[in-house]
Amino acid sequence: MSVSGIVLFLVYVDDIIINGTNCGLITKLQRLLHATFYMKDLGQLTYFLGLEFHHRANGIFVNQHKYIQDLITLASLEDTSYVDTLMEVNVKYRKDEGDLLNNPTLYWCLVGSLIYLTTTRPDISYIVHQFISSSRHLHLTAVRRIIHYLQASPTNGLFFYTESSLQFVTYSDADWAGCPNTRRFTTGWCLFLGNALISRRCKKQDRVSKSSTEVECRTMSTVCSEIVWLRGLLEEFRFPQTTSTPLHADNTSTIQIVTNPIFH
Amino acid sequence: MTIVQTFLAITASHLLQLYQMDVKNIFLHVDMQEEIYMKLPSGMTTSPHDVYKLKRSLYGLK
Repeated sequence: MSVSGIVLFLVYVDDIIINGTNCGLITKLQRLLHATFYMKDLGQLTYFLGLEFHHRANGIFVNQHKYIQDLITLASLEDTSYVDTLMEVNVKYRKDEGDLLNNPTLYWCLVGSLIYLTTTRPDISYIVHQFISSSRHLHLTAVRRIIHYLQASPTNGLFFYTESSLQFVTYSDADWAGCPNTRRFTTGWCLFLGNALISRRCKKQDRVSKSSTEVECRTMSTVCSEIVWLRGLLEEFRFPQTTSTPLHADNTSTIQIVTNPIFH
Repeated sequence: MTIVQTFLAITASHLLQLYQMDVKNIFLHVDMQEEIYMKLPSGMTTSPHDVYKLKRSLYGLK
C-alpha cells in the first residue's frame, strides 16, 4: 500500500494473483518479483485453481467448464443424455441402504470433485453434502444423476458485476431434520458482497438440535463469525464496511431471541 | 476460495486489472544434494554460536 494506491497480492503455493488500483505499482511489484524469483508472467488472469475467468464489459464471469468436462470423462458419461433436476423427488439417501460398492475409489473421486465444483456451482452443494459418509450403489447412481444434471449446464458459474457495492448481505436457513440417519439438521448460509456471492456453506450440523429455533440460532451464530472475519479482511484490504451487515433469517422465534438485547 | 472470490468482487466492482504470475520451479521436500547450514530465524531460542544443518529442503530454497 502507498499513497498512490494499493496492490493486492494473493499466493497459492506457486500461483499468484495480483490486482491493484495503480498500474505503476503493479508493474513495480512484478519487476521486483522477477528480480527475486524465477517467475513467469501470465498476463491477465484466465485460469486459476481449475477456475476459468472470463472478462466481460460488465464484470468477470467465473466457471469450471473444463473441470466439469473432465468430471464427465472420469465418470464415463460423455454420450448419455442429461436431466433437468438434480435429484429425484422425496428421496432420502440412507447410509445403509443397498449394496456396498466393491471398488469405491471412483465414487470418492467423483464426490471429491463435486465438492470442489460447488465453488462456482452452489446449486449442487445441498445434494453433494449428503454423499460424504457412505459409498453404496444407490449413492453412486445419485452422483451420476448430478453429473447428468451438470451436462445440461456445464458453462454456468458465478458473475462478479462491475460497480457493485462493497457492502455485505447475508442469508441463513436450515432444513427440518433432513438427515434420515441421524435426524440432524442441515444448515446453509450465503454471504454476498454487493451482489457477488463470495462465501457460502451447506453443512449438516455436528450435533442434534431439538427445535428449528435452536438450529437457526446456531446457524446465525456461525454466520456471525464469518461476517466478523470477512469484515476484518476487507478492512485489511482498505475497503472497510461503512454500515452494519444485515443477516437475514426466516424463523420468527429465532429473530425474536436474537433481537432481544437481554439475551446478549 | 472465499478469499479468491472476495478478490474478484473487489476487482470487478472497482474496475481493477487482474494479473497472474507463476513461479517456474518449485521443489517441495526434495532430498538435499549439498550441505547447507543455517541460522534459525529470530525469535527461536538458540545459543548465538550454534549453526544448524538443514536435513530437508525448504520450500523456495532452490
